[in-house]
Amino acid sequence: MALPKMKLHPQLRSCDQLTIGCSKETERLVADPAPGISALPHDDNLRYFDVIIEGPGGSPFQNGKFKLELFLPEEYPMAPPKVRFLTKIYHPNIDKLGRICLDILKDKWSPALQIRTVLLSVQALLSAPNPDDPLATDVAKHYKENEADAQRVSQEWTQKYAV
Amino acid sequence: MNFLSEDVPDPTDFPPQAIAPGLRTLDGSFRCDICGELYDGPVTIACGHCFCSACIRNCLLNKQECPTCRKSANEVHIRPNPVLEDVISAWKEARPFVLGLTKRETERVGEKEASRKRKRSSENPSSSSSIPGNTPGPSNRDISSPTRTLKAKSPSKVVKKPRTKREGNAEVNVISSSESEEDSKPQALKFAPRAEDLVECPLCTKKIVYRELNGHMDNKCKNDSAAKSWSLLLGGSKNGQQKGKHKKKESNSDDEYPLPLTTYNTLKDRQLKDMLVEQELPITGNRSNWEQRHRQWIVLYNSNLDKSKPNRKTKADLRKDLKRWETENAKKKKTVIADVKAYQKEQKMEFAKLVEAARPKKAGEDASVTIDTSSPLPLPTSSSTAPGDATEITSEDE
Repeated sequence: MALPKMKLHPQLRSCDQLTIGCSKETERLVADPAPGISALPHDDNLRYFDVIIEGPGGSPFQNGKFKLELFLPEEYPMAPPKVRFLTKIYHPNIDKLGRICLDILKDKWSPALQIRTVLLSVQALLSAPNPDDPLATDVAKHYKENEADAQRVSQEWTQKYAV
Repeated sequence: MNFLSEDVPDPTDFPPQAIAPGLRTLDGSFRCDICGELYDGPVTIACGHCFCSACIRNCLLNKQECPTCRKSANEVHIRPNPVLEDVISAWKEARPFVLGLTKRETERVGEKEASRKRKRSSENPSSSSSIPGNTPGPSNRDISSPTRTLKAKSPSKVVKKPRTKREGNAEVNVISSSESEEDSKPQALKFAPRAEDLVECPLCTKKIVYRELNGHMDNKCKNDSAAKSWSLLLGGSKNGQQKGKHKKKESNSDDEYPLPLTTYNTLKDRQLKDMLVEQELPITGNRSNWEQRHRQWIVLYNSNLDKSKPNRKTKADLRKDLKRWETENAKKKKTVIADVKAYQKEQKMEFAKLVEAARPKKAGEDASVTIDTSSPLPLPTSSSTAPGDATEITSEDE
């Protein structure tokens, strides 16, 4: 917790309330985790999470452990969390900077969604790549033209980067 | 990870399904999908989903769909859910008790497994010592300790109790709540109205004491707040400023009516100001402040009306809530200061204090420079937090 700041500036106190709101969800997240997903907040910034998602079984990402970062903006839950892959991944909807093309992270966000549901959706995206709505165009092209070969590359990358 | 050990009430306080079937789900389903708290003034919308009134009203300002199922939804579909409200207040009372029970139960089970023979002897002292009247089952009415145990004991009874009370109230003295309208209709059919009976004004459908009905109609339903809100909606009252003072007397009569949503684009500054004055809200800040303030006031005010009478806040409390909301909101948006120099002058003392505070910490670095760069921001707080947040966001956007 950024305690020194708070001491200096009592006005920050109401941010406290916000973090309490977040930590309610966090507590549930930590106490009752979804299978194959872990999310831990930073000690110094409760809005910033280190996430690890296991590649879903039956996908080319199987056995991979993918690191992500998740940030809850001030407007959360009215605005979606910002999520990004930190581990390199060969996926048509995830670009080389790790940005994710997922509707619920953008216009289809709903305040009833939570960190847990968002991460489950990201995990589902790994099992079901959608090359028709690509972010990494070259990967999407590869997936469309030769899916088997593209999956092979995905698997290779998983073994190389996500262990 | 200290904050995790802080007591944040949450469904996971209850043991998982295998140990305490249904309890975790039960607590979870008493919570608003949006804020994760126990419902505060629960309301139902067209699709049947339930939210805190303030939560869903805020959501619908952004997007007119149900946050849970995405079916289209609208303010006008919002209906209070008093039964659930009663359930929640009962659960709030029962929750710590149930938690205690489950905790003891799990302890007991653990003990039982350790030594089966000791089970009986350990059960009796624990139940009789810590909580009076703790024997499960409905047959504890005659236990001497009064209401408190009763309430904590059996939520079902508590649910019934306030309800009957409220219905009783409604018939006697509540004037214009929607409940009393339904309650007193059959009455009106049965008896010819006496002078002190409440009757519905045929013009504005408001409840009026029969003896005053003629005067009220002669007055063209002047006291009626629906008419007032319409005049507001159609461009605001010209004499709003004068009305502000009379308002206090009338305020009792229009407590029951939700405020209409307003399209601010069509309003002139003057009209907007009048509307704020009419609601006894401050008129500080610029136009966008006024709009936000008024919009949020409507959310707070209307969601307060969705609660049952005993749970409602006073207008003064609502104004405090509004103020708190505003200060919080102001922090989220980085304020731009027009006259930097004047501001620096104004805040000179503050900066000096900060410099003093920073010096001993970072003796090597020249703290004064960092303070100088942050000076255009309104409060040292936001200047110190804003860059951190900004870098995080940009690093993600890269």
